[in-house]
Amino acid sequence: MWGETFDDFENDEGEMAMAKQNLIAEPARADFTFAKLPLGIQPVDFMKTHFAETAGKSMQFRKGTTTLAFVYEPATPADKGGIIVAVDSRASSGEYISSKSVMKILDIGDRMVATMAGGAADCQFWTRIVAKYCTLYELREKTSITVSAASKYFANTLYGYRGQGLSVGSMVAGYDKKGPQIFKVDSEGDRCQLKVCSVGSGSLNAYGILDNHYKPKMTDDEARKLGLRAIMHATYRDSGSGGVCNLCHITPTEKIRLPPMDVSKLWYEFADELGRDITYNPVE
Amino acid sequence: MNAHDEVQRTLNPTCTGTSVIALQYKTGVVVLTDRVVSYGKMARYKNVSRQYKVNDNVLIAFGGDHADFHWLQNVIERQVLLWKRFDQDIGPKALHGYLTSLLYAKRCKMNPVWNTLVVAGVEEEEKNNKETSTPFIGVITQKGCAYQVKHIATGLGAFLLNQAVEDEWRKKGEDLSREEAEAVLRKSLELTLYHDCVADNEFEIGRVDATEGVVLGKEEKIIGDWSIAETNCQYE
Amino acid sequence: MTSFTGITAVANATNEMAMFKQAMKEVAAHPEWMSSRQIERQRWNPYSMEGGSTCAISGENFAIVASDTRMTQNDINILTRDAEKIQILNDNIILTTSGFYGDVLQLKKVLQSRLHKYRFDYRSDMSVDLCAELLSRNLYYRRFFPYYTGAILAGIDEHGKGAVFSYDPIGCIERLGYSASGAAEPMIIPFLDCQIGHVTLSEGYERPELTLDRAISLMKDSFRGAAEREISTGDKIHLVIAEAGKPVVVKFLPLRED
Repeated sequence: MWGETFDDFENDEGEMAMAKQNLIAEPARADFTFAKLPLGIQPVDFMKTHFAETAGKSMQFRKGTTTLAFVYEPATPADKGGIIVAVDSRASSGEYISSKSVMKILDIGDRMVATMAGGAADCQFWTRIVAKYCTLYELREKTSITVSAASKYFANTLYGYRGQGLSVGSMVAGYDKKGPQIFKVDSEGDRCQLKVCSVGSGSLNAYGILDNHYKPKMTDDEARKLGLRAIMHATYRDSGSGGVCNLCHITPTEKIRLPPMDVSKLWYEFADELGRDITYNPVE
Repeated sequence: MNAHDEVQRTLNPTCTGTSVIALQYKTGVVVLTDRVVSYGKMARYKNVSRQYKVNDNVLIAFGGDHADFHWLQNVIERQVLLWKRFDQDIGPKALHGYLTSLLYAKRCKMNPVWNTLVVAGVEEEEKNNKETSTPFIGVITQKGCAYQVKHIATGLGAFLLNQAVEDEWRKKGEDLSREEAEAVLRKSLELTLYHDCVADNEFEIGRVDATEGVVLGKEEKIIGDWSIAETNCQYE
Repeated sequence: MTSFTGITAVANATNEMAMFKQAMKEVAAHPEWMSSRQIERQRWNPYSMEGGSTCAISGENFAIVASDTRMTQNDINILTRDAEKIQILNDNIILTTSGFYGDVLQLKKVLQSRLHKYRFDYRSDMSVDLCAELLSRNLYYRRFFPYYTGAILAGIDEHGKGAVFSYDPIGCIERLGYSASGAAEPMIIPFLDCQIGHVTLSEGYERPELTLDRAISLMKDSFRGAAEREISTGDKIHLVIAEAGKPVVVKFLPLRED
């Protein structure tokens, strides 16, 4: 512990072999030892008592979101196709907006992202665990992990904490050897593959726009507009969502993060496009 | 169930002490406690000291559960002996830190030590140089919330006396003499006596001085001026 | 045993399983071995709120952190007027925490010891980015028994730029230009949004540059404003100024004491 003698160096080879062995083996399920409440206290009840509305405004966990993702095919050869992931950027603690600039698209790998809905801290923490697993997988297997496998690992990990009050609603989206894929994963341990998907408090509003305008084949411009449009409308109807719209376009070759767009400005943009005056006109 | 219920349903302490008042003066600290341990509103045990001499530099006074404090005395004694093994005398700062961790750890097990502790002492900055020693008062609540102060009143005194003691302190600040500090404490006890039904008129003033070390106080009595009762009663 | 037909057997089995699960749930919530003393103990509130507010602003080459020094009991009774909520962890990392003071102290201790170990292991000071992630993790490790704190970590990052990281009680992390936490957060943030974020300024208007002097005056203003309207904020402003390449400066400024 305190220093090395020369004898210790002779063990190096043995240690190297051991390290290699460890590297080849499948890493164990993330086994964190979280500080626990004394036996018999249910974390869910405990949180409800101390961190719900009765707690001070700043003591509530950050949450609230609209996130969406969809897969589309290119309409013309000039387009790239792939996946559009669009999210808002609001985090609220109760009625207080504790942040208006959260990045809710978290990187998992070069070609994969996870979105964040539900408890912000839960998503951030567990996404990193998944990212670590994926990186290790890539190093070990010398091939990048599939979206399916990554999301499965994510879901399994969350399942291990089921009923303990985690709150995660995430979409793992990415391009792998099987093509563009989106998996929705949540803290109940649920996991399912979808083409068009939206999660969060504003998801229903987003679905309304998305289902209306979605086509399996779109140009890149159309697809990006659709993502923006759905998020914009969701933020206007859902008070838990707002801020800017972050958009990520995963194409077969690259991952493009578009600059954030203020949803207030988007509103005027779409109003212009529809040829409609933004003032309410009951006669029309 | 709402948040207020659980405060009421808490496992209540049984035999309790009330206020502790402590004040720092030029070369040390004076600590005043009354000498009663109550069982609810009943004055269950009289002539009980609520101050504990740890060593020549440290004195601890407590408010809250008497049994828990007895347990703490054992723990503290062990800690002192542990330091002795390394030929060290535990100082007030170190003990304050240790007790903070202890109380916080117990809180995390949802099994709190039901005490408000006042660690009074003289911190030796240099070994065997009394000139550089500084007075120290540290407070720890049962949840492990700890802070250092120049003057303190705990228990009901926190509501009654904190400002009164602070005003006295601000008049002289660091230059307060021991006699003046003790006078402030006596006056403060008189005030608790009028308004705190579990406070007693028998009390003791312990002190920790840079030169004299810990001097535990003798039992004293105060009657107070009850003529103010005439102006403060609605029950005739 | 009533029937040997498959369907009833399955129905019975699922029913039994459901009942078993229910029983397990109940017994987990109220184990029989638990004495009334233990049940009482669980209802005890391990948290208290000592009030106060903290705030941090970062600029091009500086970060300033401020908090008030009041500590209250039940938001009403002032326990002390000089409780420190800011910890200078090293030359370029400053932690400031509001909330339950026991947790504030614990968090400080955890980070201090981790930083100490880092110095021992790597023979250099930790950078603020690393420490920010470390803090986030440590907050999350208490996910099921959280720290009752709103933490802000500020400092000078590896590129000499000011950095402010804001957290929720369980470690949701975000790097921001400015942040506040504690009782007066909903008062300070709109003020800073207006003055630093310029969210209320139309386009085309001149936006004053955020210099150190301006940041300090804004900080003073926000605390003086909060002390006017928030009960658990007051007494003194504890101001810590970190500028790239300069030692950390600590100041105490008076504030309303009522």
